[in-house]
Amino acid sequence: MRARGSAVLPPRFRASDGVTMSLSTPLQATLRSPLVHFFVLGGLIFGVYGLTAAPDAAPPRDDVITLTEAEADRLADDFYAGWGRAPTTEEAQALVRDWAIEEAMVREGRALGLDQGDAMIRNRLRAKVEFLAEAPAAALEPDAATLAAYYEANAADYAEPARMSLTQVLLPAAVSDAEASALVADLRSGADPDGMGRTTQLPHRIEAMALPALDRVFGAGFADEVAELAPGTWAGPLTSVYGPHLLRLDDVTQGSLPPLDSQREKVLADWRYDEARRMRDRYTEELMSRYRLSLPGMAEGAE
Amino acid sequence: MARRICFIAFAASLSAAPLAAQVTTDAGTLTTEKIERFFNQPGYSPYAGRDYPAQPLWGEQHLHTSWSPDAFGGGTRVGPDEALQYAKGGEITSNTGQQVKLSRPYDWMVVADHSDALGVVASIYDGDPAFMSDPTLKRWHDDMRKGGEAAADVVMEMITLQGQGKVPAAMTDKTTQMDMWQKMTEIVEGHNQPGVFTALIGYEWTSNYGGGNNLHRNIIYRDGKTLADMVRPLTTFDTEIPNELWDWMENYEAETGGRLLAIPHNGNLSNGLMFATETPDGKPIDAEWAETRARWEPLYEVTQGKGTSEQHPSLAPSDEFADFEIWDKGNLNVVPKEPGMLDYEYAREALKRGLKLEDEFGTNPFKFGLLGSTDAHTGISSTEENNFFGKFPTSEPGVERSTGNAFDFDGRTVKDWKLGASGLTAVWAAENTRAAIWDALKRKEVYGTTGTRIGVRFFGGWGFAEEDALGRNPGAIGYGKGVPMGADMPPAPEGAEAPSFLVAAIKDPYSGNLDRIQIIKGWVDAAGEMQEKIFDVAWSGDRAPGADGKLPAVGDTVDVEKATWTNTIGRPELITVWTDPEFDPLLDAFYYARVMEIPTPRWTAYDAAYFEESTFTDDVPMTVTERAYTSPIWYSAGQ
Repeated sequence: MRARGSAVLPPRFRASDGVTMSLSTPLQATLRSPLVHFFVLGGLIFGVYGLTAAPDAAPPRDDVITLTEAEADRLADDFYAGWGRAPTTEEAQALVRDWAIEEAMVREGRALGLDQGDAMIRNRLRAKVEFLAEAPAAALEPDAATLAAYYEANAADYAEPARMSLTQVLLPAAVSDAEASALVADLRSGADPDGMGRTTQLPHRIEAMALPALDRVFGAGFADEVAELAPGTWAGPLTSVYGPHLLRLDDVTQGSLPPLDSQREKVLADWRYDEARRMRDRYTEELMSRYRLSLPGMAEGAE
Repeated sequence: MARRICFIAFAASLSAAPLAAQVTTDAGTLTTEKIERFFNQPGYSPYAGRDYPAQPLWGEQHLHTSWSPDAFGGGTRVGPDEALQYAKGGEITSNTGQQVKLSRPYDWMVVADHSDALGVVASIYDGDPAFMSDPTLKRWHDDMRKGGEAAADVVMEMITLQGQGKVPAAMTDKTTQMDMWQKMTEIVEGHNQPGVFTALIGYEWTSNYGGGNNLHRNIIYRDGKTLADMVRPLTTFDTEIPNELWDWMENYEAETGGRLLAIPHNGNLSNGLMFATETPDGKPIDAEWAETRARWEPLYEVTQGKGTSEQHPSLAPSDEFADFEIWDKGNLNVVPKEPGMLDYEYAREALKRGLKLEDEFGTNPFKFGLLGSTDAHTGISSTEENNFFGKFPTSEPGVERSTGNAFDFDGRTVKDWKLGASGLTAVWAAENTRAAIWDALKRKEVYGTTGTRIGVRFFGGWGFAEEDALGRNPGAIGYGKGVPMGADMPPAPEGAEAPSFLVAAIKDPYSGNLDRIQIIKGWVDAAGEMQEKIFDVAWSGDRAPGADGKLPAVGDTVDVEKATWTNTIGRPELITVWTDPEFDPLLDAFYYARVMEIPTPRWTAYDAAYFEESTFTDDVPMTVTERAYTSPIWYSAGQ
């Protein structure tokens, strides 16, 4: 591993005294438990609070920057998380040096009020509060009736789309009505469509394609036109953006709603997602009910 | 009977087609026997056992959301979750409160927020048992299990207790950390639906070495959340040197058994560093560096919102299409360029230099395929000229973007109107899964467009013949007789004289017709000089090259005032077989295809038509010539 260029720092170490690093349990293991997930998210808030209002001790003298063991562990863990090994002595020194610079500058910045009104800081805090507010949703388990009702209510999102199979022949743009009619007649009487018509990169046969996808191939509105055709017989020409087509609708499968169990995981995830949004909204509402908004020019105490 | 009529029609079509001009196919010499022999090759069914990709999969790998600090700071509120819903075809509300929806869903997407924003946050958890011994935490646990209101009440109670300083002590023990990255991978995982929509995990490592010199790379994972969470993403606090990024990637693969690749972008804003022959910190590159770059960086993002980096017009004066959405004022901080910097910023130059470096180091470090993406910082991937939602919230649709600045560094500005509604990536993958798409990216079987969905097939081989352009299924013929875009030419068989290429393009059904297909060749001549040449190989109408060898322009139907055009010029499809007429078997070369659309209205024209009060100046371009760039096919003389 080369020296780390001009840049400095990642994460962590524990003093260069040769003490073995202590590494946390890999996070993804702990996050498997929804409860843990919840508390970890909860920690976002309390962690920030702890930094700004260390309740247990008098603030250290301004000219001392103390690297606590816990903070040293955090630096080491963070380095390990990126590189999968402990930092070398040189890297560890760079980490501490950079951490100290960061700490000093953060103190200066705070003293100067530079953390105030910073859109990035404010938005990040807001995002974390939102995560916190919606975190419990990850652990919710709906009963069978609730999930079934949700599935019914959102059936449009889970229904299999209608699908069509068809065979098509693309004709030259200049084909006359008489030529087209003659070709339709030939096809109806059993002529082989393969090799007929213009060379094209469009698919000649389409198997069970969902209607919206058909528009992606032939252009907007084409699927609706095809849907009007009588199945099983050659018709046309229908005009797409590529030119006139002769077309046989071979099969139509109507859309249907599959049994809930066939996509339970997805439905459950969606239900939790909606619950999370609901929790966030409720939290926001309740939070705002604790505040009064005062605007310029407004009488004191007005809502 | 049918067959006969069909061939009359067929011939009529050909007489107006580029085939007639280019492949010197005289429609009159087409015989039924010839065609039928071709169609009836034994065992040849275009449908049976087909295992090559039938349709390209569309998406992009470079979208920022509110989770990127610069997007945050710019007012972006659309997060990764909403961004992915939108990519799947959902309608969302933009950062300026406007409803927005894609004309057609994407097939795949990478949200690539800046890793520097995905930082860790001090947290408190240290194991279940410790938590459960606290009666409050135990009660919260139980309430959460009850779900619904009881669970929501837990959050309220937590916040209340926190305000009173009565948080359970177990929660304030900072022995581990919560990581925004894991929240990101969770969201992405939730949107990944194999077979329907692929959400790949990724992030952007944003090195601005030396102050705004763009060395940015997107890191794309083949893996899911489980592996991606095992290693913390690299930030530029770790390093700003690309070769150290590659060290990190190697470490990730060793730690997890997963796979990564990196995609650089915006060489045009790197002030000479993107394809330089020394590292940013001034060390000359060597064989190991070349090998490592080639290993990790198989692709280059050639077009995006902050300009197109295919080739600078000053480096290719005879290329009349090179002057396209060029950003050459300076680097990302608009620090002006010095002479010579342009030579190391553009893809075509780098592809040529790569051949030269291969002679020196044994490995071509710049053997990359081409793709396009937006780099939008709005959470909204938009590349359609009539549906362009800008780069930042300030460049979302509105009167302001007719005069606003996209970048402003101490008065060195770039106007909003310079932003391009570009680009997109098509992946030739046989199925829509993370593995299939990533593998296609890795083997460079992808191409980029400036935002429209032009279908392009490009194959190289030693035996393509003109009738291959007449078959029903260019894909089957191409894979059967050659190699696809991104690959190396197979060794020349005995007696082969020159490589031949099957190239086919079909228009985006929502955009303009096609003007022409070009094949761009680059090589290093016997004197060691880098060379390039552009061949027009298929085109619409009955145009013929002039005395200067140039094909006349296709024309222009754009009504700028109304922001409309007609497809009365150009062709919906072009296909041909082209054989290199100047092939020298002793010289390494690459070939890629560029497919040009007819002119269509640029987003600025749609804006001018929609917003009566917009005030674009006269120098603002109002039409655009959309195009596709395929990944190259390489010929190596040393085979």
